[in-house]
Amino acid sequence: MPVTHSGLQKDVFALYRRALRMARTKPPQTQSKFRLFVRYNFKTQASAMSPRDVSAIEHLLRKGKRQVEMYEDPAVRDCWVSQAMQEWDANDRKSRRSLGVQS
Amino acid sequence: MQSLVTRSAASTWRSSSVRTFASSAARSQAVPTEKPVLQKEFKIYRWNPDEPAKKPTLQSYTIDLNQTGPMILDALIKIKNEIDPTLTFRRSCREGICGSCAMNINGQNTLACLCRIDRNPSKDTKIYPLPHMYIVKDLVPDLTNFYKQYKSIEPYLKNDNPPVGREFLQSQEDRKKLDGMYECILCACCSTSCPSYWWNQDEYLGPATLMAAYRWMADSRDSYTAQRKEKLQNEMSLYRCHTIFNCARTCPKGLNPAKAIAHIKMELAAD
Amino acid sequence: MSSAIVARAAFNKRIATAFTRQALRPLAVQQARTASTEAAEFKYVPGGPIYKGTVNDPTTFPPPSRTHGSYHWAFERLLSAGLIPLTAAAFVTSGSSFPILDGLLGVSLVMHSHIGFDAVLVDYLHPRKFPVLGPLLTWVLRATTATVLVGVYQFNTNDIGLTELISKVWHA
Repeated sequence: MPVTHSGLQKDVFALYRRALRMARTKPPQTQSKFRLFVRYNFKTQASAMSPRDVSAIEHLLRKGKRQVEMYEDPAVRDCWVSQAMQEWDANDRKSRRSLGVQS
Repeated sequence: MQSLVTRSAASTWRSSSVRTFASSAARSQAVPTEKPVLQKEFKIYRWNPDEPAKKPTLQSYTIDLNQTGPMILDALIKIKNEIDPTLTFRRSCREGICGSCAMNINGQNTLACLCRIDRNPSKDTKIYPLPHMYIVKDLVPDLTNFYKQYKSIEPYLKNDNPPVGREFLQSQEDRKKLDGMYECILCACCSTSCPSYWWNQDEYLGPATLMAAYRWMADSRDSYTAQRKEKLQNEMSLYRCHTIFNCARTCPKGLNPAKAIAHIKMELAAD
Repeated sequence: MSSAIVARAAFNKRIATAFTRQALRPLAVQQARTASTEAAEFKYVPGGPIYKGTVNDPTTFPPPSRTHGSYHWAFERLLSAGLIPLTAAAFVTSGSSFPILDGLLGVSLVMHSHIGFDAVLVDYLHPRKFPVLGPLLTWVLRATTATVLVGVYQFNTNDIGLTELISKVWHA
């Protein structure tokens, strides 16, 4: 069954994709940092948000787009990964592994 | 006060020829008169982008007007300094030349630094950000689209044959044509007060940008007037103006964008 | 947009599953899919939260067209100005003795209101924001105007005409 997405969802996906592509253009040793940064920001904010709150999602999109635009600058070569991000990443990996076992 | 005392002392001395210090001894130190407390309520639009799911609210602050400067911006700064440091607004010059503090005060778009506080304590003053804009935080609107539009009209002198080795001269009459337009500080008060701009702000340029466009069309030194006009020859960019005159009414600098737009329309029709 | 909000109830879960699925798929397939089905840029919603281009790109202009620009405006203004003497003339003359004048007044009034309604549609129901309703209503308006024009012609040739009608209604 094909999943139909709303325009807003497609925008969110497009932004996520663009952000991940941005991570791929960075130097190899910092790429994983950028990827974690992107994933952390997307997933924590998506889980904190009601999917019906369109104006809030639009605000985050606007903010996110501007942020990605800034990070796309080739002069940006490294980013900072906080303790909270690393903890979240460890938890996420654990839960994904358990998901993989189930399916 | 000091000079008054000396002058009265001098007059007594002249009349009686005897110098006395009786008057100055009686009043020792002048005690500054305590101003009465004048509490006034300000209701300010608050919205925090860190909690985007929360709806925007009006937050109420009460301050003593006699301990505040005369303008709304003074009140805002006092609130930020003394009551709530999280209150966010743009301000820079505090004298109406930078256009940063444009906001909607009691239903009128204006600069907070040029708007006097209504000293009637029974009425509250409501402060909102510029209407129909995306909000960055509290009273800070997102003006990206406004600036992108301003950029689209190429707001700079374009001339392929500038005079070599000397100044670009302009007659006094030609210079006079720019009066009333060059003063615009791009505070976006007029554009955001325009209903046409509310509904069609992605395509309609809005009064501020159109006035800037006409400022370069009317400039005798600019040689791209025809191209500038040609750009506006469409349904949306210029002709969404329905001469509502909210722009002229709200402009905190007393300019008249509606007149500039009318000039553009006349010149386009006469082409 | 609002119709699809309901469909997004399981937004977070779907994000998670979508991306795990993406991650499990072989890289080549993933890239091919991205290239073929999805554009790299966002979908631009007019007046929406996403603007075209970067922050530093100027906005673009629609293609220039004088019929939609200055000619339209000049015609509208001349028509509006012309209505004033036409109305005054209709007061002093009678419709039956000057049928051309009466017909001209009827047609001008219809054109004037057509332009007015058209401006309303462009303002509030522009096709770029309402891809179905906008063009539909534009054509409804055009059809209405055409019908009314035919009606004006019929009324003025076969019946008493506009000015006579108004004076009759006024005195009735």
